[in-house]
Amino acid sequence: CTNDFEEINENPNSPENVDPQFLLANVISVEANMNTYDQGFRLANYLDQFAASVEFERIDRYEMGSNSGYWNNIFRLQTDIRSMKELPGSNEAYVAVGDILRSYLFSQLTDIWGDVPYTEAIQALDGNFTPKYDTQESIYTHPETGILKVLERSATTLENTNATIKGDVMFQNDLDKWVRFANSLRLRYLMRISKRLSNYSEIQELADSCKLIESNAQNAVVPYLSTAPNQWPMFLAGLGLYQEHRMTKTVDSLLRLWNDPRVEVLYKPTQKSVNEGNPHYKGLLNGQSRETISSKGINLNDISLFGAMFRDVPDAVNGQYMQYAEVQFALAEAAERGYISQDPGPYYKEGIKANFDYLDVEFPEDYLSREAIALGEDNLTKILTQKWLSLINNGHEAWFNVRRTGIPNLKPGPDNLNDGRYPVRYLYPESEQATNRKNYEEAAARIGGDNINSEGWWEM
Amino acid sequence: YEAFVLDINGEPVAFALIQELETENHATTDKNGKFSFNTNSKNFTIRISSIGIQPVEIKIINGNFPEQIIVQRSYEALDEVIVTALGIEKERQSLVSSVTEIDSEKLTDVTAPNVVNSLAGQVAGVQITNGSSGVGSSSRIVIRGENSLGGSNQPLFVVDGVPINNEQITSDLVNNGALQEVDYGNGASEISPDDIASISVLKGAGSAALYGARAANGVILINTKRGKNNRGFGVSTNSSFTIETLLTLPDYQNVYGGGSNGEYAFENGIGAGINDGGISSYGPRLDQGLLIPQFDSPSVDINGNPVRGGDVIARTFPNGSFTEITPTPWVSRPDNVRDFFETGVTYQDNIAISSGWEEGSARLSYSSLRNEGILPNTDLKRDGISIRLEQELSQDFRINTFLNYINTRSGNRPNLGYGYENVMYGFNWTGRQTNISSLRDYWQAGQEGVQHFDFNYLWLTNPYLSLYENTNSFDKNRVLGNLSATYDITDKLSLKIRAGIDTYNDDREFRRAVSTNRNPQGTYREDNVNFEELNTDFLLSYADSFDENWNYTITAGGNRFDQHIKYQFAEASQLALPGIYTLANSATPLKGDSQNFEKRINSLYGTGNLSYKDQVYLDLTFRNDWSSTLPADNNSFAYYSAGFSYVISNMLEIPEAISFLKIRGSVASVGNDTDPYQNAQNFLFNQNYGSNFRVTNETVLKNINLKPERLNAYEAGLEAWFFDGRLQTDFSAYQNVSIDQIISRPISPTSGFLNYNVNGGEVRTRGFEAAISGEIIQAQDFSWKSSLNYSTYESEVTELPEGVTQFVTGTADVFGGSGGSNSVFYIAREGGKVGDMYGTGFVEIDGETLFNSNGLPVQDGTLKLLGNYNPDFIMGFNNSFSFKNFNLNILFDWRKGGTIVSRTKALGSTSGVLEETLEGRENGVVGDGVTNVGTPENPQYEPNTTPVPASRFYNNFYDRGNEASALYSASYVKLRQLSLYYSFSDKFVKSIGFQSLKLGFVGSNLLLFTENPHFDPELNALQGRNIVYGVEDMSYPSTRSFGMSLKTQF
Repeated sequence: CTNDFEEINENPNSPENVDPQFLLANVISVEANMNTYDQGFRLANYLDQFAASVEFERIDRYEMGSNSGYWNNIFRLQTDIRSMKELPGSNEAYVAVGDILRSYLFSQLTDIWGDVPYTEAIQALDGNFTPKYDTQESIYTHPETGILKVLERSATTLENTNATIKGDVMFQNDLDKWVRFANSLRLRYLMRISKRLSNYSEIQELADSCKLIESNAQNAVVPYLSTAPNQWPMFLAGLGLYQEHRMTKTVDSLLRLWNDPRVEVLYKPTQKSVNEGNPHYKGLLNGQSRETISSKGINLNDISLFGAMFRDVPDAVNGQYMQYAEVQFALAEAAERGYISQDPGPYYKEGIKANFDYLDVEFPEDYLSREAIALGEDNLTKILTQKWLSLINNGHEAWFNVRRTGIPNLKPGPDNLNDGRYPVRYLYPESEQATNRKNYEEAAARIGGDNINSEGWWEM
Repeated sequence: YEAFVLDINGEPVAFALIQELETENHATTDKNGKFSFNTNSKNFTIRISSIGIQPVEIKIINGNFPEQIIVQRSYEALDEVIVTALGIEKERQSLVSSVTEIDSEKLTDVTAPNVVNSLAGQVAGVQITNGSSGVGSSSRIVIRGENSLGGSNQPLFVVDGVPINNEQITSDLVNNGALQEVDYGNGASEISPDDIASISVLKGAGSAALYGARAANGVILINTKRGKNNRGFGVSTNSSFTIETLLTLPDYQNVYGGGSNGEYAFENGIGAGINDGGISSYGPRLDQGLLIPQFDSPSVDINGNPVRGGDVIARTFPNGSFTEITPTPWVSRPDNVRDFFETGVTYQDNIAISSGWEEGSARLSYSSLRNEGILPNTDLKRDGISIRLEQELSQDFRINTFLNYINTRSGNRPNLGYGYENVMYGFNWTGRQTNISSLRDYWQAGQEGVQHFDFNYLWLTNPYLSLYENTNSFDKNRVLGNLSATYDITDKLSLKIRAGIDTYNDDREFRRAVSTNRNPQGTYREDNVNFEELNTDFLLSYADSFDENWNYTITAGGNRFDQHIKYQFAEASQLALPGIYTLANSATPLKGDSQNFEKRINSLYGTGNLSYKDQVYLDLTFRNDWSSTLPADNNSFAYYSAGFSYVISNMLEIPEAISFLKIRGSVASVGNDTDPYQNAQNFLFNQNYGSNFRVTNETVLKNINLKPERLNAYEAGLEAWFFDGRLQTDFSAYQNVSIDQIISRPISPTSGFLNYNVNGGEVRTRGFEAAISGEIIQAQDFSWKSSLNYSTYESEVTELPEGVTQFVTGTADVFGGSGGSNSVFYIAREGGKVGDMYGTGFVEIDGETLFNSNGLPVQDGTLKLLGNYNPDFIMGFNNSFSFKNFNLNILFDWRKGGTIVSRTKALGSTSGVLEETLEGRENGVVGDGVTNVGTPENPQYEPNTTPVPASRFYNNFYDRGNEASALYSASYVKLRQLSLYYSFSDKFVKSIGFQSLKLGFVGSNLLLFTENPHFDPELNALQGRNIVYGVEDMSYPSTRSFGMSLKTQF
C-alpha cells in the first residue's frame, strides 16, 4: 500500500527539468540588478564618492561589513549557471555564455573580497561542502582554469559555433555581442592586473582585434522596465533611502571644474536654490556623521540629490555590466602607459563622447579643448578621472580602479571609522566562519587578515 | 471495636488507616474493609485515611462506635483513570512513564484565550513561550527540551484520540520587508478550554510511541467533555471578562528630545528644518522652557487657514518655500508611548447544555471570544460550536462523536519584527518630546487618502496609519471532529474504528495605503491557506486473564494519515487608484504563487499489557510507519517501547509514613520522517523579466539518501506518597538520544546552496523533573494545598557527522542594515550545548573590552559564544487556599538562566531613546575597558580614559554586528495566575433555581521580575516563517490581564 507514495511525494509546485534559456534570463537580469542597484547605487557610490550619506549609510564612514547578501547571491547564480550548462537542452553556446558570466561573477568575488573559493566552488552537488579558497593570482591567471583563459576560450567557441541560445535579455541572443563582451572583459581584467604583468601583448592583440565593444549599441547593459518586478528599485524605495544619497563635494568640484553639463542628469539642483529661483548644485563632504553635519550648520535643503533618472521614473536606468566608454578609457590608459602602441587621445575622446551619448547629454563643442579636459599634462589623471565618472552606478568597478590607480585621489571623510585609511575590501561573511572555518582561516591568514585594509594581489 | 470501611458504592476499602487522634492507637482494614481497634477511652476521635479516599474524622461519644464507616473516594485517587495514547484508558498506578493530567477546573479557573498557555507552570518539564502580539498570538510548547536540532520540537496535539494540527502556516512575509510578519496563532489555541474535560501531557517518547513520528516530542492529549452520566438535563455557563494592560514597556529617557547635536526644528520632516530628516534622540534638552517648531505646532496653509506644521503640502508655496510654524513648548512626554496603547478587553463566554439518557449522552456547547487588543484597531474574534454524542446502539455496539466548528477572525493583526510596520520599531525612533496622540488625525490637510501626516517623512510611517489603514485581516473557518464506533465482538474482544478530520480555510488580506513608507504606491494582497488532515484507524483489543492474578490486554491496529496543504497568494504591489483594495486595482502585473503539499503515512501497531495483581504492570508497544516523504527504499521505520510499573506499597511492608510507593521505568525507540518533496531538486519560478520567463535553483540541496530519524529514550520514575497521601511526590529522570536527525543545515554558500538536508549528529538530552504536592492544612473551614514542579535538562551535541567539526543549525537576524554582519548563529560543536548562540562583539584583553585611541571599542569579526538560550531550570509553584466558600489560587512561574539577544536594546540605544543613553550626554562616555598605550608590537594596556560624545559612542557600541553588546539574561519570575472564587451557598443557589454558582476575580501575568527593563523575556520572535529562539525582535509589550469570572450550573 505504499505504491502511490512516489506519486504523492512528487513536487507539483515546481519542475525538475527546464529549458536552459529560463536560467540564462534569470542570471543575466538578476546580476544586472544586483550590480547596479544593491552594489552600485547603494554601496559603491559611497566608496566612489558619487554619493555622501546624511546619517545611516555607514559604509560612507567605512564601516564596510561583509556584504554577505551579494556573496550568497553570486554563488546562487553560479549554481544556476552550472544547471544551465548541464541541462539536457544545453549546447556549447550556452556553455560558453555561461562561462563568460561565471568568469564575470568570480572576478566580482575576488575583486571585492580577495581570495575566494573558485576551483572547488559550487560543488555541493558533488559532495564538497567546504571549498578551499584560491588565490586571486590563480583565479585570474591560471593557464587552464583562470578567468582570462576561460574568457578567451569562450570567445573562440562562440565565434565558431552553429549553436544558438535563447533567453538572452542582454544581447537578444546575438553571439557576436557575447564575443565582444568576453574580449572587453579580458581587457578590463588585463588592465586590472597590469601591475603584475610584464608582457602586454594580449592587450595589444585585443586593441587591434576589432572584436571589442565598439559602440553604445553593443553595451553590456540590461534596461530596467516600466512595470514590476523589473523597475529601478529606487523608484519604489522609501523617501529616506533616496535622501541618504547626496551629491558629494568630490563630484561637485570636478564637474564644476570641467563645467560639465552631465551634472544636470546625474544630480538635481538643491531644493533651496530652486525655491530661491537660482538653481545650482552643491555637494556634501563624504564620511560625516549627523552630528558633524549638524554642528557645521549645513543646510541639507541646500545639498543636491541624485537626478530624476535615479528616482522619479522606473525605467530610465540600465542594469550595468560594461559600457563602450569603459573600453575606450581602458585603451586610453593602456596607450598612455605604453602597453599598446596606439595614441591615447582618440580613445580618450571617444570614451568621453560615448558617455555623453549614453547619458543623452549634448556634447559641448569646446569640451575637449578645455584646459582641465584636454590631454597634455597629467594625462593619466585626466583619463582615469573621466573613466571614474563614466562608471557611476556600475557596481564596484570605479572602486576597483581607484584602488589600483589611486585616481581620482579620494580622501576618507572626517568621521571615518577606519583610522583615515581608504578601505580596499569587504569582510568575509560570518557564515564562512560558521560553515567553512578551516578554509576561511587559511585564506584570512594568507591575505593578511580578514580586515578591510588587506590589499589584493593586483593592487600591490 | 470492630467495623467496616466502605465507599459510597458499598465496596470495601482495603488498607485504610484508622488512627485515634488523641493516642497513637491505630489499625488497618483488611481486604474486606474490616478492622478492629482497641482503646481505653470512650470519648475520642478517629481519623480514617487511605490513598484514594477523602480522609474523615469521626467523634466517638460514649463508646458509640458505628458499624460501617462510609468514605468518599477522593478525586486524585489511584484508580483514577487516565486517558493515554490512542484513547486507551489506564489506571494511574499502571502507568509506566510520566503522564501529567490537568483537569478542566485548572484550565477554566483563569480561562486563557490560548489553551496552551494554561499549561504554563503546571507541568514539570513543560516550557511555554508566547508570541508577542497579544491575544491570538501563537504559543510554543516544548516538552523536555529540544531533541531536534533543526525541527520545531513541538508536541503532537490529539483530541479524543485523533491528532489535530497545531502548526501555524504563516504567510510568506519578511522581516524588514514591505509586508512584515504576522502571527496568526497556533492551531490548538482555537479549542475552547470549556470543551475540555482534561488534558494529559505524555512526556516520554515511550508514551508517545504509538502516535508515530509527530509524537517524538511528546503528546498533548485533549479529552473533550461528554454529556451527563445520569438522566436529565443540565446547563452550565462560564463567562469571564478581563482587561489587559501593559506589563512591560521599554524604559525610555525623558531628558532629551529628538534631533542631533542638541538641535532640532521642524520644517518639512525631510531635512529642510534643523535635523528634521533625522530620527535620533540626541536633540535639545527637554523641559527647559524652549519653544521649537514641531510637526503639531500651529501653522497656516498658503491661504492663511490654520493647519499643523506637519501638513507640509498645504504649507508649501508654489516656489517651494513654506509658511511659518509657530514654535511650541519643547517638553517631555513620558507617557507618550504608554498612552498610545489602549486597554485590551476580552470577553470569553461559554454555554453548554448536557443531557444523559439510558443508552447515551449528549453535550452541545457554544464558546465565544471577543478581544480588542492593546494596540489600537487590533482584535480577535472567535466562535465555536461543539457537539459530543455518545450512544449505545446495542449492548455491544457504541458510537461516539465529537464535532467542533470554529470561526476565528480579525479585522487587523499587528505586524511583527524589525521594520517600521511594527510600531515598537517606530517608537524607538520617536523623539521623547513627540506628542504621539496628535498623530491620530493621520492624513495631511487636504490630502485624505493620499498623503499621511507625520513628524518625519523619510523613515517612518504614522503609527495610527499603520494600524488603521495598513491592516492584516483574516477569516478562518475550521472543522475538526472525530467519529468512532466500538463493537464488542465477544466479552473479551472488541473492535474500534475511528476517523478524524481537521480541515480549515484561512483567508487573509493585507492592505497598505498609498504614502506608506515602504509601499509608497499602496499594496493589496490576498493569501489563502487550505488545510486538510484525515486520520483513519482501527483498533482490535483483547483482554483476558491467565488466572486471578495475571491479566493481560493485547491491542492491534492500523492508521492512515493524509495531509494536504494548499497555500496561495496574489498581490497588487502597486495600486492604480488609492484606497481601493482589490486585485483588479493593480498598476503593474499581479504577483502570486500557489503551492500544494501532500503527505501520507501508513502505520500498523500493537500493544500488550500484562499485570500481576495490582502490583506489577508491563507494557510493550510496537509500531511501523511507511512515510511518503522518505526515499522509497528507506521509507519504513519502526518504533518500540517497553515499560514497567511496580507498586511496592501494594506488595511489601513499608514504613507507615509512606502510604504509596511505586517505581517505573521505560525504554523507547521512535522514528521520524521529514517534510514532503525533500528527495528531488526542483527549479523555482522567479517572476518574469519583461516577457522572459525565469527560473532559479532552490537554495536547499535535497538528499535522496535520507534515512528516518531515530530517538532513543530512557526514563525512570519514582512516585511516593506520604502521610496518607497528603504529601505526594513524583520524580522522573530521563535521557533522550537523538540519532540521524534530519536537518536542513546551513552550509557554505560557496558550495552553491545555503542549506543541505542531511541526517546527522547525535544529541543527548538528560533531564530531571520533580513534582511535589501537599495538603499543608486540611481543616473544617480552611485548607491549603501547595504544589511545586521543577525541571531541568541539558542537551549536548555528542556526535557530529563524519568530517564535520561544527554544524550550523540555524540563524536569526538581530541587526538590520545592508552590508553589516547581523546574524546570530546557532552552532552545534561536539561537546557543545544545543542552543549555543554565536555572534560578534569587541576585541577583549583579559576579559576587558579593548578601546581605540579615539575612545571607541575595537570591533572583532570573530564569531564567539554569546550564550545559550535554554534555561538552567524552570519551576512552577502553585498554592490554593480555601476558606469556607472562598477559594484562592496563586501560581508563580520561575525560569532561571538562558541568554537573550535584544534588538530593542541595540536599536533603542543607537537612537538614544532608552534610559541608559542618558549617561555621558553632557561630558561624553568613557567606555569601560582598556586601551593600548604601547605599540601594536609591544602592547601596553591601561584603562580607557577617552571620552566620546554620547551619540557617537552609543551609535558605535550598539551598532549592527555587535551582538555581544545587547545581551540579557532571560531569567524571570512571574505571577502567572491568580484567582479568587466565591461559591454561593447551596441554599441560596437552589433558592434561585441553580445548582451551583461561582463568582471570581481572575488575573494572569500580574507581576514580572526580570533583570532587563525593556521587555518580557518570555516572548519569542517570529522571523520569516519561523519562530526563532534567544532573540528579542522589537517585541510588543506583554500584558497583564485581570477581570471577573462567573460560572453557573443549573
